[in-house]
This record gives sequence, structure tokens and C-alpha cells, in this order.
Amino acid sequence: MKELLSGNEAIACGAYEANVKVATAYPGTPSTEILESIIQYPEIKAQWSPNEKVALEVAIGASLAGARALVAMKHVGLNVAADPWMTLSYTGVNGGLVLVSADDPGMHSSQNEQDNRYYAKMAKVPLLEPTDSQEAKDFVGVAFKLSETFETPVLLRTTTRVAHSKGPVTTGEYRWTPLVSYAKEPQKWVMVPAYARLRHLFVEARLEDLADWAWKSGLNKLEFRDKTIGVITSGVTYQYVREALPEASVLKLALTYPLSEKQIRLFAEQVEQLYVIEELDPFLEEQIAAWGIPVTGKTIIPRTGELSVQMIQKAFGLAQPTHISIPPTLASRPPVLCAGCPHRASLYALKRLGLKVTGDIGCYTLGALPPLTALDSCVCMGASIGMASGMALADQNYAGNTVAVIGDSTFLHTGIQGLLDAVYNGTNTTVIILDNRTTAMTGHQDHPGTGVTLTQTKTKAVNLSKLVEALGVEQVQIVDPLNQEKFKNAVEEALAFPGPAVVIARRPCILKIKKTATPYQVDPTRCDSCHTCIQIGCPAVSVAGCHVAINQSACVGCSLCAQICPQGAIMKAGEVDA
Amino acid sequence: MPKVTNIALVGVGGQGIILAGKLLAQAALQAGHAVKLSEIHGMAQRGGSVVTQVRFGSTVFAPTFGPGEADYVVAFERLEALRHLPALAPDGTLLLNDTLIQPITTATGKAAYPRDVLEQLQAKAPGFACFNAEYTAEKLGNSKVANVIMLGALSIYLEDIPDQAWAEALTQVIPERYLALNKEAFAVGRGLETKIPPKL
Repeated sequence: MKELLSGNEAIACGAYEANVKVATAYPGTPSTEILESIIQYPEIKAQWSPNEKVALEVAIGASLAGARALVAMKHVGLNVAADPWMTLSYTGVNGGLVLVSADDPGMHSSQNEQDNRYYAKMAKVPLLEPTDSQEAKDFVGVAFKLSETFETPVLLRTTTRVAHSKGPVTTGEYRWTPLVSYAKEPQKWVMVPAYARLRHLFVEARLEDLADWAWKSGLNKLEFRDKTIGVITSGVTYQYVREALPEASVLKLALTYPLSEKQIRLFAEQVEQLYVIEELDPFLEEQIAAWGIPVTGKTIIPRTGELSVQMIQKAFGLAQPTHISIPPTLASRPPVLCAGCPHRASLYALKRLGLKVTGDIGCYTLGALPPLTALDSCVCMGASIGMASGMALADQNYAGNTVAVIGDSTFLHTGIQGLLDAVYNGTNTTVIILDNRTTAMTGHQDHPGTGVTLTQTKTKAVNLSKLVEALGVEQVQIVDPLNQEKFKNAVEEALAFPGPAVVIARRPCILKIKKTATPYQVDPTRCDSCHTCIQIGCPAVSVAGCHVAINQSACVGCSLCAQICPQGAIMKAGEVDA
Repeated sequence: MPKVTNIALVGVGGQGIILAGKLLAQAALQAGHAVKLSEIHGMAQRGGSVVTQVRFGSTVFAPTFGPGEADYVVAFERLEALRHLPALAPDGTLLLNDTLIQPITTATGKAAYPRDVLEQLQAKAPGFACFNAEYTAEKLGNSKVANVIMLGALSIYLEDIPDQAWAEALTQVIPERYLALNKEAFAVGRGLETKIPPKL
């Protein structure tokens, strides 16, 4: 019986079958479930690392020691891990090492839609792209063999539609293998210039061998049907092509870097019109065109967003199904901070104080949307602190009216260095750590501040206030943001403090604690319809006729609306006069 | 190309659509079909509009399908039914769990929740099947099983997934302690009468 697995679950299963001994990651959509799923195999030592760079470095160490190691991250995570990644290409591996990059075309849950295939090309390492869950599992095994045979790290790239689509998977057998023996080899592992120059020669030779192997391995599939149209494609796009152009001949590339010129030419010569259909950038197309092979690609296929069967049909002038039309002005339903979310309390207070807020990556990024519109920026993990410092440097007036907000998990990921920068350079930066005791956005993963590991083992929890003090911050306050007055006072004190100051806004994620208090109600005799409470953007509070209503089954009794109501018209259910 | 059955499960993050999709896909697999399911996690989840697509048949390539291709749209909320109506094939069927959840845009008064959603649905997808799954779930003692009740209602239409496949899927996907409740919800869903024409 086949099992129905997502691409991520399939990769975990593939890691188990390939006898991976160490697996590391920092959570990030759409990659998170790989490690969450890997923990069902106790044979694999699996862990969350504080960030992707550390995760990769741990995996490199495991490889050096002779173990097969897998490291997983979302596309932008590889930007963080790019430093070890680029030089790992030179050292190569001892035990096999596979990096899974889960890209997010269409940006379902990301700040950009960069095409990480370039990371294989830039590092000159092989790139595998599965088209479904079965291949996601199988390619993990292929990748490890490839890694050890060619002494190279391997990039296994998925996209959201592979990572988060489920399909039937035939699982295989677990095969235990001993560690590859360790030998001290400074010329391979110590990348000082004299040794690295030699390794670069090795990397270039390896690339040629890999291109040759791409042709011979049989991994890339030639599917000849009608030869009027020939399509070169990879990843989930292959599935779209098969459905949109069922009669077309297809070269399905499993190994999308390096390409075998011979194989591409052979296919090109046998079809009348050659197309490359790929999501995002013309990664394959540019290479093929550079060989002087006539090819059509991005002139008809979009460079942005996800592709689909219908988009390909449209590009080829094929008929589209008719469909029902709906009013274009239909009320949208954007994601929102949950009822009772502590971030709402923090962000609302910052808005009331009229502050500029540099933002970061996490649930609180949702506070950028109306009605809160509390954020001024969001670039990448950890950027909020450096950006607040930069604003203060540009014009010191900003120091008094700007704060950086960053989640606890994000602060530990790459926020610490930003704060260190502010302390070191004496920048008057105010940082608010939105400490909800979890990595909420990706589904409540633990981190070094929670005291629990990926495998739910108790561990030492980093003490955020002590950590911040140790960096040299002289004013550190811990406040519950749901006490609006105290929180606002703390932020004002921090802003007034000459030098870097930190407010730790501490209250656990409402979804994590699952504890609710008596819901609140509106007293219609006191409500003057000022709609102040509507401005907090709580899904439990809505405009109802002239007044405001609180949905009793959605309200968790956090009290924020009651605290900010100018009329004192919101009180606990049961306290409202009938 | 052999016929593939396309089903879109649409609603609001938190309504149990991911679980419903998992059950449906598992049942299709148990019935011996090729099957693919596509869902979205992460930022889209938090109270936003969510879609899970399930496809099954003898051969399934793409995990997703486009506008005008859904044989069934199972909507867990009125406004989401209207929003995702373009997914429906001309001969497709809309099943609605008749509940109303204000999005933040209408709750804050920035946009209007259309008053005539049911009329619009009736005009664009005449004879759609309308259920009070939430109310029925509450009678069973847990409003959360509205998703499984809707699956039960859907199962009547899916002749190529036999009862046994549904039973096996429930057993495989639902944790032991909730199994009895979910089995009951599914059975109730199968017998649920549609409000046809929906009460406007």
C-alpha cells in the first residue's frame, strides 16, 4: 500500500531510508515539516538550530565526521547559510551532505520569490529537482550517492507545490551504513588560500564530471511523443506541462545543474520547436540559449509567480475553460493576528505612541496590514534592529521616535548581532523583543529560548534579559504588553534612555497556551460608536449596526479592547447591565 | 486524457480544511485512485482565505487545477463560496456549509459583507447544496466536526469512492480518541438534508 505523503514528509522518509544520521534546520515555510517529520525516526539525530547558517555548519561537521547529514531551509534561509555553503563546495564532503532548499514561487508565505537554483550554479554543485512526493523521497537517496561519489554537497530544491502537495509514495527499506572513516586532510578541509586554490581546480573538474554523469545517469528522462513541440522542464512544472501539452515531447530534467550539452542538443535536434518551461527565472533557458540552440521560453512564460496548467495552455494559445465571474469588489479576507494575540497589544501601543516601527519576520508582520498598519518596514530576519540604528544615524531625531520590533525566535536567529552593533557603536536604538515564547508563524516550533528541543526534550532556555545585558545594554525591561499603560510607559522610558535600550514584551502566544478567560461584551448604553476598538483589528470585534459587537465564541478575554475603550463600554460578559 | 475529479475545499483558516483535505485524499487513495492534494501553510493560515485542492482519477499530473475545472467546490463559509465560485466547472456542484465569518475588512467597516451572497450563489450556481453543518456539529457536541459532516455530505456525490474507503480513511487519519465522534459526524453528514432551495 502506498502512503500519502507531502513532499516534505517524503524527504524525511528518504532521509531515513538513506541512513541520514544528522538532520538540522531552522523552521521556515514551506520547509518546516521536513524536520518535524524526521523526528519519527529515532535513528536520526535531528535538531532545530538557531539559524540556517549554524544548521549548515552542524551538518558540515557531521559530514566531516563521516555521517550522512541533511539540512533543510526555506529559500531565503540559504541567504543566511550562503557563507558556509559557498566554501563547502570547495571542501566537499566526507559523509554525504544534502541541503534542501524549499522555494516559494508566488510568495505564499515569504518576503521574496528568489530562484535558489542559482545557488547551485554559484557554488558549482549538483542541483536535483523532484516533480512530486515520490521523487522527493527517491531523490534524497540519489543525492546522497551523488554527494559521496563526487565528493560534493548537493542542493535538493523543492517549491511550495512539491513541498506542500501530497501524493502516493512507495516507501523503501532502511539500510544502516557505518560512518565514513575520518582522516585528517588539511588540504581538503582547511580553506586557506594555498589549499583553496587547489580545491577550486578540483571544483571545476568535478563540474565537468557531473555534466557527463547527468547524461549517463539516466536520471533525466526523454519522453518522445509528437515531435512538433519539444519541452525542457523540471520540478512541479513538469506536471503542468504533461497536462497542458499531453502530446508534446518532453525532456524532464531531474538534474538541472550542471546540464549535459550533449543531451540537450540531442533532444533539440529531434523536435521541431524547442521550448523551456520553467517557473521564475530563465535558469535553464539562458544556459541552453548560450549554447546557440534556438529556444523559446520567457518570451511566452511569465517570470513572476507560480505557473499552472492553464497558464501554459494560454501561452500556447490553447482554449481555456470558461468560468463563473464574481463581483471584482468582493471583500477580501487577508490573514490576521488571532484574537488574544499579544503582538496586537504591543503594536497597537506603538501606534498610539505615534512611533516609527522597523519590523521583522514573524506573525507580527501581519500588523503591517489595516487596520493596525503599525509597521514601517520588513526586509529579512533580524533586519529590524540594524535598520532602526541606521535611521538614528541618518537623523538623530529618529532615535527618539523609532523602535525595532523583533520576535524572540527571530532575535535569537539573527537579531543579536544587530543589537551588538548598536551597543558597540553607541547608537541610541530602542528594541522591543516580542517574546511570545515560540516560533509562531511556522506552526509553534521551539527555539533556544523555550527550554525545549525539536524532540521535545527539556533543555536549558536562554535568558533573554541576561543575554541582552551581557551584550552591554544598560536598560532592559520585561513587561506584559497586555498591560497597555505599563507597556507604553516602558517604551517611553526606553526611548528616553540615552543609549541602546530593550523592552521584552513577554506574553505567550495565545494558540500555544490554549487558555481562555471570560469573553468581553459591549455595553450598548455606554458605547458611543467611536470605533476605537475596531482599530485594533481583532477578529472577535466587529462593527454591528451603529455599535460594535464582540463574538463570544471568538473572544478569548485578553482585555485589550476593554483597556482602550474611551467610554469604558467593554466589560467582561456578565458584568454588562441587562 | 482520462477524467480526473477535481475538488476544491475552501473556507477560512481554522475551519479544519487541511484535515478535511487529508481525509478526502486518503479515501480516494484507499479506493485505488491516483491522487494529489495541494494546500498552503504558513502566513496564509491565520484567519485568511484558504483553499485545499484534491484531485483523483486514473492518472493525475498537476497537484492543482484552475478556474472552471472543479467538479465540486465544498465551501465552509458563504463569502468564501462566492470568492471561489470561479473554480467551479460549468456542470460542477457547489456544497455550502451555511455559516458567516466576518473578514477583518468587513468587521472594521472598510468593506461590506455582501448581504445577498445566497442569492448570488443561487443565480450563478443554481441548485447548489446548502447545509447547516455547524449547527449539526454542535448537536453532536463539538462544532469542530463540521468539516467531517461536510465530507459526509460530499461523499454521497463521489460514487467512485466506496463507503469502505471512507471508513478506512477515517480510521487512518483521525486519532483514536476522536474517531467515534468523527465517524458519527461523517454518517450524519451523509444523511444530512440540503436546504434546497436555500432559505434566503
